[in-house]
Amino acid sequence: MIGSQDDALKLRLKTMIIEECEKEDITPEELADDVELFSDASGLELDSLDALQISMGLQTQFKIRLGDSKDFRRVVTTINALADYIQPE
Amino acid sequence: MITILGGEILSALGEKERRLKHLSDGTYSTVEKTMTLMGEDLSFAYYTIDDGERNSALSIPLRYLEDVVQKAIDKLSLTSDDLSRCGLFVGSASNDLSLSLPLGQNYDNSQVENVACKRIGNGYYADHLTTHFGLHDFSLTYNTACTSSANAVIDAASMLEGGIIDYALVVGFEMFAPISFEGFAAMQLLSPGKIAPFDRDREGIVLGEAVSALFLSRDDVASSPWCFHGGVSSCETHSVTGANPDGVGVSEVISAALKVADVKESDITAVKAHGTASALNDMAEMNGMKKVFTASPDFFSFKPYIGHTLGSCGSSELLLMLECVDAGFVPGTPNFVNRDEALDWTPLKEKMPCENGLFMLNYFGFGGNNTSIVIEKVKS
Amino acid sequence: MIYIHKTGSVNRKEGEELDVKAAWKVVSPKMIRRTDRFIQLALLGAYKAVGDNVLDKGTALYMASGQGNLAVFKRLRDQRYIHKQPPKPVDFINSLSNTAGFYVAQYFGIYGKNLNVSRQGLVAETTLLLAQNDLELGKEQQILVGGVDELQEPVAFTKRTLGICDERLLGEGSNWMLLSAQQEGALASIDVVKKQMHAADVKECLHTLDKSCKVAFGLRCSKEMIDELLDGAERERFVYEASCGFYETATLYALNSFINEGEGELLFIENYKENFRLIKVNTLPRF
Repeated sequence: MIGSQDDALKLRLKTMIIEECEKEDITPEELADDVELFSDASGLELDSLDALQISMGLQTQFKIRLGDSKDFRRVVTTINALADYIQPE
Repeated sequence: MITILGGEILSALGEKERRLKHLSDGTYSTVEKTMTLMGEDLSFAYYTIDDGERNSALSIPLRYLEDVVQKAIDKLSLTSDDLSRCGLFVGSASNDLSLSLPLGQNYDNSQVENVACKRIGNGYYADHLTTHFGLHDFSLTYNTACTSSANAVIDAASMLEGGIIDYALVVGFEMFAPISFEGFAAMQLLSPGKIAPFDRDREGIVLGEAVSALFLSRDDVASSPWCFHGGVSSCETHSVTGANPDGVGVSEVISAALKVADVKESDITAVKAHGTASALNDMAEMNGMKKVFTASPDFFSFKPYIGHTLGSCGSSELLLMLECVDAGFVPGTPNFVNRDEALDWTPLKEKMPCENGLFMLNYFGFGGNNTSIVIEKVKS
Repeated sequence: MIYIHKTGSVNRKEGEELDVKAAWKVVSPKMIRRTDRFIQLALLGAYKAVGDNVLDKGTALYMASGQGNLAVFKRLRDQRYIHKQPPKPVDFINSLSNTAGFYVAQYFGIYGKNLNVSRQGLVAETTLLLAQNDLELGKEQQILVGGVDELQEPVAFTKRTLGICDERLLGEGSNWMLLSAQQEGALASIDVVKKQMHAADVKECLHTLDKSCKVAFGLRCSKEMIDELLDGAERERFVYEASCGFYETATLYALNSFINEGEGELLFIENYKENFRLIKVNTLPRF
């Protein structure tokens, strides 16, 4: 199943992001699948240190290694896109 | 007037004759260090202290510290009476091994009984040096990341000015620490290749280790052609990871340092930049300098010679500055090739003849800590 | 002469409860993220001193600690050696720099000099001496001085590394005072004696001390040492020890307690390895 269709995978991703960024006041349900995570619209208010924490979370929990910030920005856009990257089919 | 008497340093550059040749020729040497991060082997350059007999025993830091301080004492012919009036200011960004090793061994709480009932941990090195060399009882250990020993210099000068001590020993201490090395990798701040401050294609920091001992005094106690005119440290709360790239915090601390030193920007002969080659630090530093200097001053970075020595770079780079100018030059910046349009100004590529003058030394670190110091070597 | 304008303390003795996070969350729910318990302890203590007052932007901050933020070092150790994981960026940042001082400065909107210093013994006394010198020389106009120590488990291990070999309880605290060279509006004057002293000097000092001056001793002074120093002299003591377990910056708790509870003059005496440091505090009339 392609990642963006896999609700369990997307829930795991959202939970990881909320935990790594310590956004305890936001629930996974409140985080939309198609919103740009690093935009104002996501309501997450993430910065570069959050990007590093998410990068580490992707590596430890999903075995995805993103070498630098350019790779990160290309891959970590929306929950749907990230899920598709992790699980292309 | 606060005088800077000189000192000694252990770094990747080796003994004095060799290090002056490196600094004059724009050459350096690094080793490869590998780490396993998430099952992946990664390799980075590292500037290691040039010492053939090296091992990782706990006694090594103390041996290095005693060795470097003793050499500085011998060089300056300080007496035991001088030392009894000498306060100690240690700057280090790393945890003291005397406690971090037992903590490492006690992770499963199995070593409780094996630890002697004796104060260890932060301040241990300072305490050891005070006892070993019979220093004055005033000592503090500074941990303000990359500005640690630069802030120690400022406070040493202040305590000398207040007459509480007559001599001050500033020690910068940083040795290889796996957690720090891996932490910088996790922050994606390490360069996969070399360290190229202010270069268009700079890719990040290369870390290094250095142990330095620097003595200061007052002109009524001990004279020197070198004097400390003033320094300012401030905390920029823009981001915990460093200075604001717009340069506002950097420019404020530079301006304040010029003010307390009572000199104009146009009087500065050369600037020792922090120059870590991280994309944002170099940007913040250049934007800050541009707000204060009307034209580009001659500036350079010591990081390509000894690496980023973190808490040690304050006193270590100050000492190298004295040695270079005493030898008649200000060094160039190895690895600088291409001008970065966004930075505009470019560092000295080659060494510049220089025998005296006013010098600004800048340091910026995690925790928003920015420090700028102005020193002078007067004409003989 | 320098003056204490505000004081604030958080203090806990081993065995007592203290939910630092919950207490700090009440003050600033926004500044919980990325801060660990040590940092929150620093923030809470500083807030007890400053409250909602606006500090001059140039205010300096000198934070002293016996061992610094050891808990984050332990987390990094466990990540590396037990979980075989790289350091988490947030933990790494919190371990590498004076991050607690950064967050306190950020909360109060101050950008002056921001120090994080440690020492084996006499750390609070030495930091106060540094602050006094900087204020007297006019290097700083106002300094927020704090001492922060967090109690680490297992306590038996921590006690040994602190060199505490008897049965007493440990403690933790975050004690702060706002200092300046201005007398107006101050709670007390403070004089950190500049001279380094040995026991004989302290005896001499106690001998000539005005009878109305109370005396308090630091937690590294043993009962035998106190008896020896007092040498049979009857001195009125200021007692704070009952509410305070051992931690390295407890001196600031003692001074703050005297200013809050007492009135008059206090001579505070502490030692480490045969070196003594003395601090005199004199409360000022309050209107």
